Amino acid sequence: MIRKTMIRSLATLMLLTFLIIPVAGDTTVRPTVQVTCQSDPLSLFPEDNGTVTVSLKNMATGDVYVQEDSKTFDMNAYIVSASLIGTNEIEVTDKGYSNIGLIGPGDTLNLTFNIKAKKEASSGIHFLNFELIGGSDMYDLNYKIPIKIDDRNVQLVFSNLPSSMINEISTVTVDVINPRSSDINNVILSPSCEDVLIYPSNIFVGTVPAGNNSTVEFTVNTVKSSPGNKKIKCLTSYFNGDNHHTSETTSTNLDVISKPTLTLTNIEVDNLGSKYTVSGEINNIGLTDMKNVMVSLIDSKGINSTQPYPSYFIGSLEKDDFSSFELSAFVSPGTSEIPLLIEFRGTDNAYTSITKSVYLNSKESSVQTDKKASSPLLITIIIIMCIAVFGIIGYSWKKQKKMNKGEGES
Amino acid sequence: MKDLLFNPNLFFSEKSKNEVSFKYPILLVLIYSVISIGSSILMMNKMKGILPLDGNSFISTAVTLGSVIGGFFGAFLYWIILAGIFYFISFLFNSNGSFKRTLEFVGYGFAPQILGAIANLFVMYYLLPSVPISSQSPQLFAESFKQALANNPFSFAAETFAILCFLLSANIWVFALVHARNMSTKNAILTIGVPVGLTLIYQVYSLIGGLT
Repeated sequence: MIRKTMIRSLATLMLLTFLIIPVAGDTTVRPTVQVTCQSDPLSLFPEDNGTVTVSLKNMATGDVYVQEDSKTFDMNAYIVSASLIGTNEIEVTDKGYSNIGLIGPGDTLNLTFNIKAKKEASSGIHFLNFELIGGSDMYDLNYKIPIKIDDRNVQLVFSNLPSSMINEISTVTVDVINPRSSDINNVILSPSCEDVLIYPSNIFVGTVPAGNNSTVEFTVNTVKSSPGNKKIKCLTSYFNGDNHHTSETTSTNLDVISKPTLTLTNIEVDNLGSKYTVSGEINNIGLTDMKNVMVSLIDSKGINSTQPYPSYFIGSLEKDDFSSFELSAFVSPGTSEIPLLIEFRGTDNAYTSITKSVYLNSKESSVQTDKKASSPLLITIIIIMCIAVFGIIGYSWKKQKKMNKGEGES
Repeated sequence: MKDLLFNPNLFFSEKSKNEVSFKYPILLVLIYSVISIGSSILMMNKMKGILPLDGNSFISTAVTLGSVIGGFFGAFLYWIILAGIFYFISFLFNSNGSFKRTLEFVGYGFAPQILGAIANLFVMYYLLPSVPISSQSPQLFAESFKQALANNPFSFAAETFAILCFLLSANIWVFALVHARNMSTKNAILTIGVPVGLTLIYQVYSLIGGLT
């Protein structure tokens, strides 16, 4: 974590330096203390907790005791008490320090105070009053410590989110912008969208420096999404100092159109008896490359996949590219469609599968006329034919008997 | 000719008074063979797609010609063999009569089968274009053709009609043998019954087998 040290204290106060007493020949020597301060975090949100560290440095560099005009002066800075006074907008939650003691020449003392920005605190720089009471040869000190309140939140910019998507997988880039005057830490982005798969669900961004941005990417998978307008919600979680904050940003409308990213074209169905061969081309009309693409026949009632191609492995299929495939199956008569399973992995490595059906053409269905539908007519025709033939045979035998009888009589 | 179908007894008794003449039997078998050849040509044209001819027109013509000649001689061979079988079986019943006469009369029996062959030709003509074909395997083509036949009611009716025509032929052959071989009606029925019965059993079995 990069922490800019803001040294607000510019005053180096000479509390009592070589104060000349208007007595001829008398010299008074007193300790010199330098005050610097630093707040953490550098800017607070309303309701944030933070700390203010006040550093007191004894600027004397020589011995502890100084002889001057046959007098001995103590160069230790004696601090009786130190306190920080809150304002209407910033509360100091510590009581302050008392009986602190001595700061030797060249030594530094850090005094840390807990502060809390009130809910109603307005943005801007607020001053806390630092009061120091000195002892012995030390004078008292009052000092104003600046504290910055900043209510500007993290912003997200969806830089390449398309306004509409088909049932595909797309990579979306988001800029996490920190408009604040201090860094934010442990930034985690959690994108989500109803009826849309987003990978990964949490993205660690880390520290975003003040006035800067970090870019992250995630994949939006709308393969199984229903058509309609969607909005991606991004929850940003981060720390300002030790204060946890969240911010939710909603994207513009994302219109999902019902059209698969992998489409089948040039489908041809050939059969020899019950053995069918389905061939065609599979096209990637999406925005991203697809991996592990495989087309298979779904074994179902009346359909049994067979060699040589129960499945056809294509592998990687780049965007705006296509590949041919071939499948083999035994199909029972009366089957009107052959279901196909298309499996693939997108840029998010997530396994996705879609089903498509290849309809058998009308020519084949005319061959496979339903026997039951034509049965009554068929039976009628056959009965008429049987009656006619057996009638002829019967008639011929009747004639034969009649002829034999006639011959017998003659 | 009307008597051949409706009163074969009278037809053959009249014919037996005349000299043996193959004019009409040959004509009937010829018509039967031509119609059968028509069916064969339709089938061969369809099968050209799956035969490894590689567009060789000479082999293609040879195959068509072969099927024509084969069909032509096949019909006549069928006639002679059938007459031979009838002659041989009737021989067991101490019958007398020349083979020539038997051959002549058996030939008349092909008249109803001409109708059956016409029905078969129609079925081929209408059904073959709808049988899917690809250049993979003749066995699979046979399977798909069988399937198409089994699933088509038109084909089923035609097959039944062919069986009934064969029954009419059998009826004619009974009276043909009575007069050609001078045997009793009962013996003629037995003579015809054995080969015809076997053929009928096979045909009916094929028909029912296709349905199931």
